Amino acid sequence: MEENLVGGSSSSIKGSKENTTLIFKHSDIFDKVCPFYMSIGMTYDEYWHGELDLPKIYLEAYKFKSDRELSLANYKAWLNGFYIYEALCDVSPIFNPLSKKHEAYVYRDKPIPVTEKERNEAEQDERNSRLLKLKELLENSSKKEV
Amino acid sequence: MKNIELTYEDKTYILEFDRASVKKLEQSGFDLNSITTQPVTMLPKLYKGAFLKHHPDISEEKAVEIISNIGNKEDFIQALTELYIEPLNTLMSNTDKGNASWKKTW
Repeated sequence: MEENLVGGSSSSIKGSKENTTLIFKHSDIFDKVCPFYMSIGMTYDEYWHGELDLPKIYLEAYKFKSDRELSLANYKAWLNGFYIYEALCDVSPIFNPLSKKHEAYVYRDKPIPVTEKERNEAEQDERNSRLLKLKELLENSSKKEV
Repeated sequence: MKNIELTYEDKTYILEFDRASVKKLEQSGFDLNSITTQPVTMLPKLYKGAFLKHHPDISEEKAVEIISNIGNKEDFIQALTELYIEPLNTLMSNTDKGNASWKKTW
């Protein structure tokens, strides 16, 4: 690869036998790295005719995107592991001879709230459920008094 | 973006290199290393190459005519050379800071 970068098939050797020199062409490097920059979203026109700083900016954006995707994949793997862990805990009484019930706990009926909106909705549902229970308790106690 | 604004006969020309014009220039036989040993061959090619991006219709003869009217040619050729290597410099510049440091000893 280094030979291609310096000499390569598109460079030429000139001069006599005693004094041969390789012509280093900037365009050899441009040709070599163009496919890479196109693979990270740069268009052909932007690469060859656009602002000279564009490749650097595309490269930085590519690094940000790669880091973000890696974080997301890692989070998804963790979340998956968490669900498996919870499921195993829920069914563990079946395999535990010392367990009193010998029945599996009910697996959660909704996904874990992960976004802010989902967390707020879950908290609201929890508050509504507590209020409903309190209301029922008050109704039952007032009926007993009567 | 680095460029040179040149005024000749009440017309303003923008001299600039992008990767495409560097490639075209090199395909025409230009070699930066030979600019001092073969100036008569290489300099007209460099002049024409600088016009390619914004003024592709300018011929080599016209480019030479325009630039021959510039005073202080050495500084101008130096600036043109800096423009020529800029597309490669921007491609090779690294934004990552490594753990190596250097200092000049002269």
